Amino acid sequence: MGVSVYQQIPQAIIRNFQSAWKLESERLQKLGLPFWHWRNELLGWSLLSLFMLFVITSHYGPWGALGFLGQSLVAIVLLEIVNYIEHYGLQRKQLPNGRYEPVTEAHSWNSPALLTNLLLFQLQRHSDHHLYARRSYQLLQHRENAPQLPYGYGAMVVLALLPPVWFQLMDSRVKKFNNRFN
Amino acid sequence: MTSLTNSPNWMHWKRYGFLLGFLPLALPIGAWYRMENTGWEIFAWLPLVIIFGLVPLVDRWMGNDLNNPEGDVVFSPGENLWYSALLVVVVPLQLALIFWGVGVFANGSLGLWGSLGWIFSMGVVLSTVGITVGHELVHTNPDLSKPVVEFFWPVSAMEVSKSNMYEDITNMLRPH
Repeated sequence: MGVSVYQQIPQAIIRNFQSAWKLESERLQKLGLPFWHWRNELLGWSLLSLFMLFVITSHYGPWGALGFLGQSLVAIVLLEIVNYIEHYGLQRKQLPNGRYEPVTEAHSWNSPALLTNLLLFQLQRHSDHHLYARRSYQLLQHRENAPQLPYGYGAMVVLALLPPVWFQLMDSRVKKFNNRFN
Repeated sequence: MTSLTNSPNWMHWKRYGFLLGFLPLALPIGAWYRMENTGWEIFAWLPLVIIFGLVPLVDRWMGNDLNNPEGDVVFSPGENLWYSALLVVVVPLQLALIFWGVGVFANGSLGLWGSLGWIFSMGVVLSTVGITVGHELVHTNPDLSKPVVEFFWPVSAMEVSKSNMYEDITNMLRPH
């Protein structure tokens, strides 16, 4: 809470990038495989990324590469904004044993906006995904007990880009919700 | 419009409602069509106006959907196939849009503002579809669908999204 999207996102992108490689190395280590191995998925997908960049560049030239990288950057930033919205101000409590409490519906915002939910295959029922990670989108439930966003994701993205408005709108909701649960 | 979601047939109609998931992919094509016809580059920004302006307004008008399917087994296998098919069909369309969209930018016919609008619109559309479908496929089928998911993410988004998904999955698939 109190962290704007502009403060959070550059950090989040770097942190996620690092943690992806770390998690993949750990996974490989558990399998007893070296980092440079075809089973390293991140290497594979990075190669594929480069391949797509190569195909686009060879087909459209340097402007193609620029456009491709540009739209990818926009896409990454939007992904992180949505992630910010989905979990803003909600934290898992640390338990006495040092671990964090399990992820529940209380750790993600829910939005019931009809049109946006149809456009996004019910992505806004993310709270239910927290509870039932493997549930298909058509089965996701509207969670009345989860914290509720005032508007759909489209509007929330615009509001997140205006931090004073965002804090005004959201911080009271975060506090109210946390008080209810504590 | 709440009467729509209150009707007993709502779950039946909702099935086709998810066809709207394809709409974001159509937005850049519509924008390009308007640009070609009018010669006005400002239409490059149209997808953003629709996603961040029109959709929220229509959301206000259409209201909320609070309906829940009952339990885990309300759909027959055939119905579930429909829902999965929608996701899978998005994949090649997304890929095609990436290549086509880059081409519109790269052919040099757009000025500065048109180009900027186009890049932002394309990025937002690809991300919208990528987040949604990628997230969904990975949630429901972490092993099999990973390759599919990754493949149609806008490329650089891959590592980032990957880590997100890993975080999501490792957090959530832990027994609790």
